[in-house]
Amino acid sequence: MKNVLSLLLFFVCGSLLAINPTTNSELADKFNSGSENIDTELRDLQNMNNLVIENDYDFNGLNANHAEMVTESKLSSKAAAGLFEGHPDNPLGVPGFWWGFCLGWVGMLIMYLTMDEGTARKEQVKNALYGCIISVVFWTVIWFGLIAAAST
Amino acid sequence: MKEIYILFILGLGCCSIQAQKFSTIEADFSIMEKHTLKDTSFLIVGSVSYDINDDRTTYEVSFPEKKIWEFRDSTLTVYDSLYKLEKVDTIGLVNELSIFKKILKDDLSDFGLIKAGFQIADVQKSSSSIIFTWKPPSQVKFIKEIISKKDDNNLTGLIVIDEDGKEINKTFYEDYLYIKDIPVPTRIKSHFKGDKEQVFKELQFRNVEIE
Repeated sequence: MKNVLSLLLFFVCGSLLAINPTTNSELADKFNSGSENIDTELRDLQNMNNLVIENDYDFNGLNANHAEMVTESKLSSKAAAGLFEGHPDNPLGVPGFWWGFCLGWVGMLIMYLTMDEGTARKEQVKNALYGCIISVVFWTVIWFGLIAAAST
Repeated sequence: MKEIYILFILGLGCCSIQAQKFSTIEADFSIMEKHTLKDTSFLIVGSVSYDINDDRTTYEVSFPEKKIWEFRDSTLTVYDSLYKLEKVDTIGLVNELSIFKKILKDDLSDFGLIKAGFQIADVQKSSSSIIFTWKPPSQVKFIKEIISKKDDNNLTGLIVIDEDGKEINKTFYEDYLYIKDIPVPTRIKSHFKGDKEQVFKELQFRNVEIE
């Protein structure tokens, strides 16, 4: 009886695997492209980042010495722009990026659930998503490291 | 059997004590970002630190302009380049929910995903990698699923798929360094695809210190 049940279990598992529309290799393939494309798109910014770090430039310093790069890339002169920009409807006026950075997935949900429907909320949720992806991964990697260090 | 439970609990206690012997985390960072629709780009350089003793997270931005953002207790304080106060906001629950605090207080075993209502829907393994599929809670309508990939036990990729099945975000975690035996990805690259807009983004960490 036990053998019959085992065979039945194998058959059911095998059937489930067979009808699974997304195989392991298909999922893995999703991660095989895209990284180099990001590098290509960000090449100028990566070069400017190296210049800023090496020469301790502020925006004026970078613009004075590498005006062509700054102009061509349409580099913003304000830290408050882009991701750091808030919206009047934000919860307590905190920009989406910071909610994501500080609160991880919880921050993203707070952003989503407390703002009105519309473009502004979508933008802020997106920014919260960026923030939480960055912070969750960075700090949880450290967390697992701490556990690993503790166990050795 | 009772002895095993006691040893297990003591073991967890040791892990917790070990984790909390680190009280500060610091790193320099660069954020590079390019928006195709807005036809503009951003470069932000600075440093971030968290101190569990006074429960304070500080972001010091040095490029393109000097700004300091400080989260402490229930307030966010913003300073200008001369450390002159620009504004103070009351932000309520931020520090209680702070991801930094959870890490150092041994309170973050599942990325915060489970507490946020995410559930593992599928796990697939190959020789060196594991791929997880996460389903969001029902109230999160704009995400269908999140797929994460780990290689050699380090997270190397993450894909967010929206309600229509479109990949709206693909993120790569690269160039791992080990600092005090802790693996740290020093380059995090991301590509966001909106309906019309695309955003390319890279976050770099340097000089990471854990004390």
